[in-house]
Amino acid sequence: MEVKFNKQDSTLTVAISGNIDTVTAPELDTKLQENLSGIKDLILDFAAVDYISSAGLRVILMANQQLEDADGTMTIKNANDDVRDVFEMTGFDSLLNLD
Amino acid sequence: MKQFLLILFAAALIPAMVSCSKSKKEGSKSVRISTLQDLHGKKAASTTGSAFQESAEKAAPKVKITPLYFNDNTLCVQAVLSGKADAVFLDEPMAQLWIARHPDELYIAGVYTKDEYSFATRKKSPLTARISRVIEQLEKSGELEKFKQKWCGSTDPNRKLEKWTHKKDFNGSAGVLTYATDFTQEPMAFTLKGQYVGMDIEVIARVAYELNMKLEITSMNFGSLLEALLSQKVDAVGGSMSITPTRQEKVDFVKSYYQGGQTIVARYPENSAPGGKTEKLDLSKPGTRIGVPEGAAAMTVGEKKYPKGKIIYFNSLTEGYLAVQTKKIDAFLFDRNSMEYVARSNPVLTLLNEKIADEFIVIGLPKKNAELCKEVNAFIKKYRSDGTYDDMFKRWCLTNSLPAVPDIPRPAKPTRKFIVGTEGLNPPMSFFDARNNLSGFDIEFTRRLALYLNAEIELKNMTYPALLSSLETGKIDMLISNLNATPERSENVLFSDCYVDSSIAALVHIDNCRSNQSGIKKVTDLTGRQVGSNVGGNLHTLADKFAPGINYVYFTDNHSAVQALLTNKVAAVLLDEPIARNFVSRHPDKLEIASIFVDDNYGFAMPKNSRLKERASAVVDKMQKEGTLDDLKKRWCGSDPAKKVLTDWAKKFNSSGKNGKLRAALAPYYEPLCYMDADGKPTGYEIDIINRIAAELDMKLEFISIVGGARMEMIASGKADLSGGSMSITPERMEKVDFLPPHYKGGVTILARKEQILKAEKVPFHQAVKKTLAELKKSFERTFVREKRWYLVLQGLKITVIITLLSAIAGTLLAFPVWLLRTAKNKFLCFCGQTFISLMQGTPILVLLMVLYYLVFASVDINAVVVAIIGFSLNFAAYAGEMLRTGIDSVPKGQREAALALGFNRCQTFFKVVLPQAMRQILPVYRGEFINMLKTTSIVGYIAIQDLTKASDIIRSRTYEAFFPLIATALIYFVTAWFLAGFLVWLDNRLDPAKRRSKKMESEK
Amino acid sequence: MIKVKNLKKIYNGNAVLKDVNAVIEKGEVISIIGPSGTGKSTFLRCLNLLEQPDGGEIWIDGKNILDAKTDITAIRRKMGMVFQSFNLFGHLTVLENIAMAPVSLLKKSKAEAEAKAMELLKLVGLAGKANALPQELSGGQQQRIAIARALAMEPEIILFDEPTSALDPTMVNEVLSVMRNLAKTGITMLIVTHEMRFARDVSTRIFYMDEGVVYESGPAKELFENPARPKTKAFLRRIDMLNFNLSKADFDLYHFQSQVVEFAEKQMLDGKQIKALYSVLEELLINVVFPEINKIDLEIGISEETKTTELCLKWQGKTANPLDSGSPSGELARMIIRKRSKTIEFTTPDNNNSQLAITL
Repeated sequence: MEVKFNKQDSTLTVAISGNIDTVTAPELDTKLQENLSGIKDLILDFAAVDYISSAGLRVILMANQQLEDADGTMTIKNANDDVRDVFEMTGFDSLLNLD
Repeated sequence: MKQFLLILFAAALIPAMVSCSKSKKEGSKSVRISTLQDLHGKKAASTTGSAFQESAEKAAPKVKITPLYFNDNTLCVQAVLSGKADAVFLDEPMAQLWIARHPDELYIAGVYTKDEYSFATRKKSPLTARISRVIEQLEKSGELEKFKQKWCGSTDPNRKLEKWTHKKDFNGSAGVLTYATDFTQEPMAFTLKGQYVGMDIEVIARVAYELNMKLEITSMNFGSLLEALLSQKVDAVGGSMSITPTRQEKVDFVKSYYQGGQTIVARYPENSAPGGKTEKLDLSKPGTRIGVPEGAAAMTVGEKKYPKGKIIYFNSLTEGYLAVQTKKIDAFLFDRNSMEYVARSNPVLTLLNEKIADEFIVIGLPKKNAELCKEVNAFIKKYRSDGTYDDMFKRWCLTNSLPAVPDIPRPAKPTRKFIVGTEGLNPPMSFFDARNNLSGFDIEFTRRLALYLNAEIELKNMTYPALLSSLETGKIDMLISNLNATPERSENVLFSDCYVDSSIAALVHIDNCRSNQSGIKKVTDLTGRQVGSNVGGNLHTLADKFAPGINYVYFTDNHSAVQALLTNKVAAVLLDEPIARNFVSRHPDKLEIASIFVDDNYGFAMPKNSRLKERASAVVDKMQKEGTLDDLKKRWCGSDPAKKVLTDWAKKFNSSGKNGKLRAALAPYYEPLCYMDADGKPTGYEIDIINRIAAELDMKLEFISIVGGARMEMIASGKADLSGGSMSITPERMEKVDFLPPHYKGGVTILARKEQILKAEKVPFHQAVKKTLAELKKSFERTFVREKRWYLVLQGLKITVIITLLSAIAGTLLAFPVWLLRTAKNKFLCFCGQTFISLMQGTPILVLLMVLYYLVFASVDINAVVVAIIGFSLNFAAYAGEMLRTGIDSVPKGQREAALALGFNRCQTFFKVVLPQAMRQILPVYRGEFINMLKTTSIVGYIAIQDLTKASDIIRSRTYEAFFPLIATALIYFVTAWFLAGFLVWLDNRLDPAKRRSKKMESEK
Repeated sequence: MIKVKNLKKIYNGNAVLKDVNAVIEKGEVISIIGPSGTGKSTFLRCLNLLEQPDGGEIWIDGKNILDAKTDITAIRRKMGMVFQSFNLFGHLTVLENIAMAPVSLLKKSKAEAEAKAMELLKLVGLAGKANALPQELSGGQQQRIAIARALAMEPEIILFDEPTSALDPTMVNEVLSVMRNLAKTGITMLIVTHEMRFARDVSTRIFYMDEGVVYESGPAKELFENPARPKTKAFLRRIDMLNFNLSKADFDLYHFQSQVVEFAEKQMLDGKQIKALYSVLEELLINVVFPEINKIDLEIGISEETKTTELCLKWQGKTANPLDSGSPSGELARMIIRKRSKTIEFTTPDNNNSQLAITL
């Protein structure tokens, strides 16, 4: 899994590629935490994400929580069908901003 | 008393020692004998009763020659060869024969008198005139000359007497003509193939025919002939009998039918024999290739004596001889007697002078049979002492041709039987004659021994190694085949005493004995070479002035000299120019005049102070001036034979001979100057001149024919008024005689072979083909037709085919059990099968056969062919068994199951489904193995079977040819293989379904 | 007609046929199916004694063929056999192949046999190949001629040992159609085959052989539609199984997943199905099972036919259904699992083992 950061003022665009599963989720978590200070808008670009498991979901949930606490927003965009299915299965589609 | 005796003894001893040393000294003086005079104080051998000694004494009365008399010529020549005598007197034709046999050792030292052969009859016998008349007739008709050509001019072993008595108009009613002669006078009277033949015999037979009398011939020693005649035991005797005054006192002679000469034949002193040290082959030189026969005593000799040489082993003698002939080896060592025969039969082979080693030729007997050995030795002692050995040796080992085994009676009630083994490939000791029977010295010996031992003898022939094994294993009781006693063999074999004397000799190519290569351009090229020259001529004296150190070989006439040149026995011949040109015109492709090195003038000799000289000289001068000499020269030395007719000067000059006789002694051996025409009359350029001289002098010409060496003698002794015949005018001669003006200006020429030019000459293709075909035809005739040899080949082929076919059939049948064993589930059986197969495949078939023959069936009396079939069958079965296995395995197992599923039982499945397909697989390999076996049968000669290869060996041992018999044998094998395997090809076609089907479809159409 | 009792055959110490019992009536067309190596061909070959049984009895027309005295060749003449590798006789033409046995064994005249042969060739559709040689024909043609050859002996029963297994798919049908026609003629046929559709269409009865016995047999339609026994089922549904022994301590998710994916791809699952599978597996193992249980046996079965995946997890000890545990950290996982699964069944077959079976 690869993570690319693009910071513009207080907007952070994170492009993720690969699978976000039990193995890779912690890495994503760490990287996000490193870069989240002072961010108001977090955009997660899921264009290259193939698969996500519950471990990944937890990481996203936490990030979402963080942004909400800071009065910011988190958006997930370009999620593919399989990922969307998982969001639907777990009710995340109503929790998150999906684009 | 004692002292006196001692002094006497010493006194006797001293002169003895002195004379010993003196004669030793004399002997070591390498004096070459070249005239009668040189024989002064020497020993000369001649046959008892001959007139040689007498004529020699007459010809040179002051010369003291010690005569040694022997029973016959052979012994005389032996005496010279062994040094017991210094020279031997021989008639000219005989001399030629002996020189040809021992070119290394003998040469004609001189010719000293003319000789006339005739038949002797009792004084006042009515037969004398009648016989003379017949001989005259024969002379006129030229038949006498023909006889001479046939008997004295050729060595063809197939010559036969004409069967005069079988002619229709003969009934022998005029009585019986008894005639006695000595049959050791080759070529006048001798035995050939068991028949009495020769010039003498031909003439007397013809005489008897003409006289309508039955001829009875008796053989006896030369010395006893005259006795027999005088005591009226016979009516006429002959056999190279010359007309001598002494004899004429006692008997009458008919008209001479042969004119020859008496020659002195001497032996080359040591180290001056042609070939000198520098030219002779030195066997001890390192690297010399010396061939030896495997297993023979000569082999050990070669190895021990020439350790530095390269020793090459040969399986058979024939191959060894061939190797010398084709120069693959430098020398071949073997028994002298056997190889002398070979050397005689082959113009390019000869024996080296030296004795390589002693030989003890013995009879091989089984180790345990000491009793028999004693008996055999007793026989050997007897036969040596009573003359049987001498007689046999002479007949078998000293003649040019192979006689027949005389009719020796077999014991009527033999008390025992012996099987005698012999090789049969070794003339003249043991060989196969024309009727494919064993013949030879050893065979005759065996028959005589049988008679002595009162035993029945069965002869068995086999190869040399097989002989020894057979003796050891008891398959034969005696080995009589030129066996040499060697220490190694004596462990297993008992040897008798030596029964024939021989030694080990070396057979070499004549090129190795003499350096006879061409390349002679001038007289100085002759130094160190063999050069032929006419005895009594002066050419060599002339040549010596230009080039010293030439080795001369003397001949009585030019023909012999040129013959020697053509057969490479001399490098060049010295001849007078016109004569040389004549020879060149006869052999334009072979001879050429290398150079003319001195001018020579010919003239006629006359005694000093002759009355006739002036007038005769005038005639010659006149002829020169008027150009007649030139005309004559053109006519006689030209190429048109029609012009070579004598001018009738007598007519022209109206001469009647009233002024007496002009006795002209001329040597008529110099064509075209002075020679005999077809009718035996003198003719030629010089005769033409002499006729003119006689005519002008109005004298009657009496022509006396002499040999070249006698030209001077005739004048000196006053027997002739004029002498000549290509006689060169030399200062030495001019001291003794006067010469007429030279009538011919010629020169001394060196006649040489035209070899190098011949090589460069391109023979047109069709001619070369023709020549090759002709040679092939001759080879074919020699190999197959002569002596019905094709029959031998056919017999051999029959055996080969029988062995092959029966072995193939038995082997194929055996293959099935072998296959079953090999593929058995039972471990033991399988092991047996595998062992059998590995054994057969791993053992050379030859070894297998020998094991079977000599070990397994040792004491069993079994036909060797059966043993061969057993051996080959076993061997073939192993291979065929494996083939079967491969073939059967190659048929898919499923097809077997399909067949079973259909309801076939195992047997039906095997024969209907498996085997046909298996066979198709293995047929190509099977065919190969079959043909291979056919060829391998060629080894059965080792267990004494006479198959095709052995037949070829036998033929080769008689013809000494390499190319034709071998190629022919190979061809026969090939054709046989093609035929026999053809059956297999047919089988293959039958089994091939595609071919079958197309056949079927063809037939359905 | 044929009665087989307690047939036994051992190869290399391995009992291929343990205890085979069967009855075959005249006119039946019986297809013998089953996994490879279960002795189907062996059974067939024992019937005509191409294999020698190690025990049991075979009665054909009231004769015990295993008795030493019986003339097996006579029995074989009444039974034809068609082999997987055709086994035509290479040295004979087609006509000769067919006519050979009747001439030799039935003592018919060559003309008669050849005439009959031509008829049979027409029957199998190869009349023009009478003079051909086996090597000149294609596999399918050779097999048809093999059938004709068997028919030439006028057998009462024909044994077919995987007749189309060696054929290239294009030629399978020509042979099957000949066999179909043959079946209609009422001749008794015993066919070992892998062609399920054909077996279903043509047979009167099916023998499913497994475990060295006739595992299940029955009328064709019934067996195919409702196989009674599990192995039969598994076989028919072409379920393929993948087994794992997994322990928490050394579990490597990626390695495990790659094996699963490979297996799934073999079974021709599409990408979505595969993702779903390893999603479930990941969730199940990481978040549901291993937190509680250390060692499990996992069996993944994918049916080629239905493309359904069955997961069966087994472990020691009697526990509660781990999917029911209420731990919040596993909630997401449990949600995903439940949503993706068709059925979930938790059992404790005996008091010592627990089993969780999930169908996707």
